[in-house]
Amino acid sequence: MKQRYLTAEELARIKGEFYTVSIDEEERPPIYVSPEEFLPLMKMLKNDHTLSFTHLSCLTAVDWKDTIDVVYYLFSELLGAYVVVKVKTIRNHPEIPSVTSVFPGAEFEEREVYDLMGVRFTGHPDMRRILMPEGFKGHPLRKDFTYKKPAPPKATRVGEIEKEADL
Amino acid sequence: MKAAAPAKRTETYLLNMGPQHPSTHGVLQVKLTLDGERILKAEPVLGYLHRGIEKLMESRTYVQCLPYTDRLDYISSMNNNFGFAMAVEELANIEVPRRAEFIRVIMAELNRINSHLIGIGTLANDLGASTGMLYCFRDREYILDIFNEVCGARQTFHYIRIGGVSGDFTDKARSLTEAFLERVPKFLAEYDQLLTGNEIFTRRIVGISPMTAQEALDLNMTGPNLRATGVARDLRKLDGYSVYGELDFAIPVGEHGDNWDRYQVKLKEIAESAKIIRQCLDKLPEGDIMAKVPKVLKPPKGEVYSRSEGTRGELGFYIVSDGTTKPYRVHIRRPSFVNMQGLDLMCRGMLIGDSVSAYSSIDPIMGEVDC
Repeated sequence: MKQRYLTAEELARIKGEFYTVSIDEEERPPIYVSPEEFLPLMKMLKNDHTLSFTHLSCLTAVDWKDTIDVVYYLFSELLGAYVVVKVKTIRNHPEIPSVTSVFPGAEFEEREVYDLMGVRFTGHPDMRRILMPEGFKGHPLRKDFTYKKPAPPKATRVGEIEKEADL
Repeated sequence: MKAAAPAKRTETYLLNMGPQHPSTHGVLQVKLTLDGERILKAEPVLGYLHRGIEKLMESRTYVQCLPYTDRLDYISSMNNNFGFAMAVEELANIEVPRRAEFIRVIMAELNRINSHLIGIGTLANDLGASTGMLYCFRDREYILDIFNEVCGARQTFHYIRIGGVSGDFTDKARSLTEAFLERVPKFLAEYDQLLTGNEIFTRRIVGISPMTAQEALDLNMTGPNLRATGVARDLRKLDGYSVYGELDFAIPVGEHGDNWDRYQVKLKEIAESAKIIRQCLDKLPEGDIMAKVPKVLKPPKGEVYSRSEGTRGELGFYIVSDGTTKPYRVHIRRPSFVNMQGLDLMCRGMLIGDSVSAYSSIDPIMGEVDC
């Protein structure tokens, strides 16, 4: 089913208010925003009476090998439309402000993105891994992640003796 | 002179519920911080069933991805198949035949009834009313018979495919469905007698774990958990995807957002789902059940976020395509996972025993939470 996305004119209005915002003209036009402008933009999208994007539908991240994009899909029942907000982060040190101060319900999803993609959210109340065990190394959803199987346990002395006995 | 007695001192106590606890519905661990019998904080610990489905999908073709969705929320597999198939169809611009759309809606609604029956049954079982569970599982068998007839499986159906459905809705399936629809009001009346009017049952759930509409919206909750607080948001109405826009049904809502309302909303949704199935059976047109889908499916470059009303709330699939046969990235917005954030609020100030009814009424499926 085709969904409605915010039109280019409506996006242009947002663009006028935030000078670093850039818009990709596509079928589903995303707003690219810098980490500094990100929180004010989200606040405006949620609280502006003509927009009222009050529902955070989807929060995730995509590894593009040189950058990691954090993706937000906001839905407005008032307009019956989505708006897509994307923040590019540096792959070696991905860090963006947490959106939990605007959308408290993003807490677990941000933890998930941190756990699996390694993006740090500053200002998050509880930035820990959520799915992988504590002490796990690496972030599995990154494209360069390879799982190293732990080495098989070394034979104990008893085992060695048993092996000799078998021979 | 008598020495002053040492000042009285209390300490909080940490109790681990699960992951091996019969009432946590799988491998959910909850760390309860207690003050005596009262819960101060409930912290869910997730990940015991994490299989990395999102990562696995990156190395499979779109068609091969579909069976993995069965294993997300394994008691509403049809709805998951439906959601994923819709996302890929939107990405690859595939038009689904009308007959297939109606069959899909019938299956999704049957699965919703199935899932709500398990939700109600396990709630009853956790509160000590094992008979309630047996009644629900008895009625669930009739739905599984229908699924068995159309696709040959009782779980992990893989019936709704990209472009349509895998097998036709036969006459036998139709008669089974009609027989089941006749049973619905009867068994609902039975539950009302057995559970709704049962004093022990109602005392354990009325007014327990309440939640206001604003709190539920702030926590991003969806599905029956949100509707129990009085917010009439249902994606079947809001988005009107598939053929839901042509069907007539109501959105049951609660008032106080307590366990009682969550239970009532599920009961009423069963009746509404039966209404939807009845209309679909009447309107079911003749025709193809599968669109022409290329053998090698290569959606154009781009991304899509497609959501549907799963049995537990908003089930969304976010797919990024790089123009090859395999998705570049798949993210699944799992309603159970997001709803788990409400657990802390629901347990706060309640007794330890009430935490069990909170787990049941929030109705998480760990396969979906951990993905």
